[in-house]
Amino acid sequence: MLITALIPLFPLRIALIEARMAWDDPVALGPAPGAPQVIGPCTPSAWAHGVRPGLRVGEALARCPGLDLVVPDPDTARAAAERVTLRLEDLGAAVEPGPDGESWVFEGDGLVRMHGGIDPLLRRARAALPVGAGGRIGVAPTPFASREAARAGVIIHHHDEARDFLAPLPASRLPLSRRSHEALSQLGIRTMGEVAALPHASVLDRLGAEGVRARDMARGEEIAHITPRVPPQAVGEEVSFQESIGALPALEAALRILIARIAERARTRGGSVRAMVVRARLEDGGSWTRAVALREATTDSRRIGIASLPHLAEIPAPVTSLAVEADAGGPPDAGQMAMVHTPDEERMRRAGAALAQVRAAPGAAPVLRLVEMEPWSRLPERTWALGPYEA
Amino acid sequence: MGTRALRGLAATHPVEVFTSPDGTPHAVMQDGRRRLVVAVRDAWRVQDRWWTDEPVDRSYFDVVIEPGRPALIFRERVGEWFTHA
Repeated sequence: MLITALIPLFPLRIALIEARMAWDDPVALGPAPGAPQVIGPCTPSAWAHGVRPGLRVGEALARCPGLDLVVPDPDTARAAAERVTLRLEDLGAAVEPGPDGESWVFEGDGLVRMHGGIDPLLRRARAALPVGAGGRIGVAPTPFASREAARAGVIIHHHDEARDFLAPLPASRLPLSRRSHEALSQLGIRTMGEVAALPHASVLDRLGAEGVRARDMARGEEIAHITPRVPPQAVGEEVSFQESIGALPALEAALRILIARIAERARTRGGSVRAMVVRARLEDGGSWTRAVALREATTDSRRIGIASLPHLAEIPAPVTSLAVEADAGGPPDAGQMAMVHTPDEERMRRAGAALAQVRAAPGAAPVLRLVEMEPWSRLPERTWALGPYEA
Repeated sequence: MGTRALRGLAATHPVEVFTSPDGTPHAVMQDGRRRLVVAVRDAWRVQDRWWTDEPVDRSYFDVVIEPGRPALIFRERVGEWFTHA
């Protein structure tokens, strides 16, 4: 029994809440800074005016002159989705968050007795979803049927019921390639029930393995297991700037500081950094996020920097704050693989030891690093800054 | 975040400046004393960040005040004087 929690258009709902706009108004997610000028998901009111995701901004405004565009905020949406995941995990569930950021699926069989029945379990799962976000819960034996059940908010106990439930739904919802959908359309097949009734050999012949998998989904016989995430041991650091910063050297200096703190906290916990997310809040109100996966878990801030610093060049606008969130669940003592240090590493090690001694001296002033902010600026206060020296 | 965050150098501070009728600095209050400007080594104007909500329009003066100290002072468009710490 798989339970799916679904909040349709969750990123749009979060952006509306942040912008204090109403769901009933014609609103759509605007293009991200620097991205192609096309709009994202839109509210039902905008949809009724002919606005569709993927339309160019000019075309959308021509179709719906009263359309409001909100700046996408993937960072806030991701944080909200993470809160939902954590609340569901608090129920004891091993949750697989959907890649779209608006669905969560977990196995319910082991939880029913723990919560005293299916109804209390579903009630608590509903309570884990944000109030007023239009969240729905569905139950079915397979992942695909469970997601479709969540759209309708129904509970399906058996495979046969799943097949009957899916039969009238449009075949266009099946996860098939565009070519396969066109083939089904040309054959006059409109519903999942019609797909389910097709002979196995014919489907294999016309649509290949993809078609067979879709047929199994439509029959409620899909053989698929969910892969719950391993809850991360999150460590996070953030730095805010008094004035927005667009200069790459300054951003690199700030990120180096954050990485050094993250690595230190991971080391203190007896773990190492396995993956991290770099987030930037932009001057115009939007946000920028980039996930960085390390080849191997480490607490070496230099190696973490090599993997993450180049991404800063992709930030499309001046930044008001920079943050790093890392999963410190890597094995302890990772990254200490070298037996003999290179001369550079040896020099840095000695500098680090000297720095520790200076810091340990009673009443010593903090050791700082001079950071170039905007060397081209004609305003002296924007040219240089002092940041902590992290050896 | 205290010393653990980035801290800009050369922050601006208000300073009391006495000007000549032509608008050039004549004396500067420093350490509670009025110090005469003995030389204006350079003067220039900076108009910057006009594309933001906080545009900058400054008249800079690189001066020498008695008894021979260099100082960089500027006047904002509204008339207030500042120096860089």
